[in-house]
Amino acid sequence: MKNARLIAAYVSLVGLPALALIGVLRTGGRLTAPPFIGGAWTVESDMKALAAIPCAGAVIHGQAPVLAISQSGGYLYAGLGDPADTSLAGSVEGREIAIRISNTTAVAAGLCRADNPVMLTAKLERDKDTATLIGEITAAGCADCRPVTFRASRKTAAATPQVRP
Amino acid sequence: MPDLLILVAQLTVIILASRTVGYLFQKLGQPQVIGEMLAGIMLGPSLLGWLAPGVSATLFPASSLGVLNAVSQLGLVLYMFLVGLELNATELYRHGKAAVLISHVSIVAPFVLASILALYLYPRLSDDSVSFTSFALFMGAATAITAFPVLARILTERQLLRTSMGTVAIACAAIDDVTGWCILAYIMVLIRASRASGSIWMTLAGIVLFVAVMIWGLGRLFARVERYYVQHGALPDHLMTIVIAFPLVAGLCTEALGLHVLFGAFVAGAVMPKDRRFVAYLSEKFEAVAVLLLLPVYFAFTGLRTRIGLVHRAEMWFYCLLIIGVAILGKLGGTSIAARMGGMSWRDATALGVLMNTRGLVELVVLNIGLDIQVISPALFSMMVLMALVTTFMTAPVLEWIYPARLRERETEAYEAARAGPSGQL
Repeated sequence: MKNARLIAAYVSLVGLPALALIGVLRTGGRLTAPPFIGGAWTVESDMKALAAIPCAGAVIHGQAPVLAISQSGGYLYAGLGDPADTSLAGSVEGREIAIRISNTTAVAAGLCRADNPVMLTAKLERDKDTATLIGEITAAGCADCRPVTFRASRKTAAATPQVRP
Repeated sequence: MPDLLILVAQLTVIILASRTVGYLFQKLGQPQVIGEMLAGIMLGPSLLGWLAPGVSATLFPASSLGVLNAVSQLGLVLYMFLVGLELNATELYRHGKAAVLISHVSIVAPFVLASILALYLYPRLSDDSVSFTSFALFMGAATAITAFPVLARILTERQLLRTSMGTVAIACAAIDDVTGWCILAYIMVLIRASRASGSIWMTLAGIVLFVAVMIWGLGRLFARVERYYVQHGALPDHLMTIVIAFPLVAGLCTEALGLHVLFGAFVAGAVMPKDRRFVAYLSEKFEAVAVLLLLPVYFAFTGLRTRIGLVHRAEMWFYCLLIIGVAILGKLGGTSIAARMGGMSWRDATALGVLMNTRGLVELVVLNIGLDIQVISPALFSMMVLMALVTTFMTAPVLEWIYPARLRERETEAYEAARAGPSGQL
């Protein structure tokens, strides 16, 4: 291959794309991604009121639950009670998060209905060192269940083990 | 179950599954390693955990994964040493400027395309704990990877090593390998420096010093070991112990420098002397443990982290298809065009592109590093694993289509004749 042709090919196929990469990185610097809310959160709430909510009560067994969140951008996978089990699907939009609690074991045991899921909604409050989720857990289609407010603080920011479906 | 019993049960199941699926894939005309990779995915939540969650939870309880990870990482350290060992610098120079052009385009094209794709994926599959620069550079590096060991194995199995295209492919893959690891090391330094308090310049100085000591210090020391082997035909236990400890110590050094333990093991292999018999001797010693026993554990551990179920919505499958499309377009397309401009026929250029598109195990290594340092999210990790499987799986059949057996034989004869010259002597 002649040198002049090689140089032309190198400039057009390597040099120009490399310059384009700089442009891409500059453009991307202006993009914003959803806030980071992954990790394990300790939930503080009225445990008696929480236990009275059909699906949620079956999950937490009367203990202060850990809300484990595995995050992929705007998509959330959460576990309430068992930190290794992040099978609950949710989403994050802006600083608002929503997680649908549909505990299959509890549904099978007749403790709650699959078509009346429990919803966990919260707002993220974050400063330099701390992050807090403040929100409520509500049961759709349950007239007797009142919404239970909760506050959660992050125990660890590390992702929970991705091992169980 | 006691910890030891769990580990033994895990190893037994992993090795049996890996060998069985690997054997089946070999029968299908695929490299065995692809079957082994797939076996790992099958043992994870994507299949076993989905079909039999009870069995999965008993066999792979969360508490046992730390030990399994340690075992798999040890296997990978030894394997990366083998990858470096098989890398021969003379291949980098043999094909001169054209190979450098093809190789660099085969890195830059998928790298830039993946970075452009990152503009779309960052707001959707990342979060604000990761900067766009880190995300885009990692996506680029992960997409630009070529699996040098798998490629070498495919070329050997298809008897393409003694063709002009095969030798260019090996040279390009070798350049890709070194460049790819350098880019990844740079990204890791950037990411870790942004999260740690230490100076990035101290880290870079440490890496330069490490590489210098490896090449001019330990590389020469091991040249003596090679001479001993050439004279005696084997290494005594005390020298073999030093060789085994070498990648481990090198890995510890790079980990301490803020890189990953794997970089040290790779460099250790790369600076080893390259006498063909010496390399074959060491490979044989290491492969029994690293490739047969420990590497399947790595595949299984990767499988345990891969949840295809996370790619559960239509738009997520769309992202996944985009990733696969961009990876193929960038690597296969970029390489083919550069090879054509470098003077190859379209057939040879496309075959080279198909070969360079093989990502295999090396891609899994890179992705696991990305997940460990949390620059990619679990769902994106699963999508990228699917991309690695698709691009590796497609290589053998597409290559067979472009380069059928009769053509390979003809090309081999032409290559041998060209090397022999008009006098007919090699």
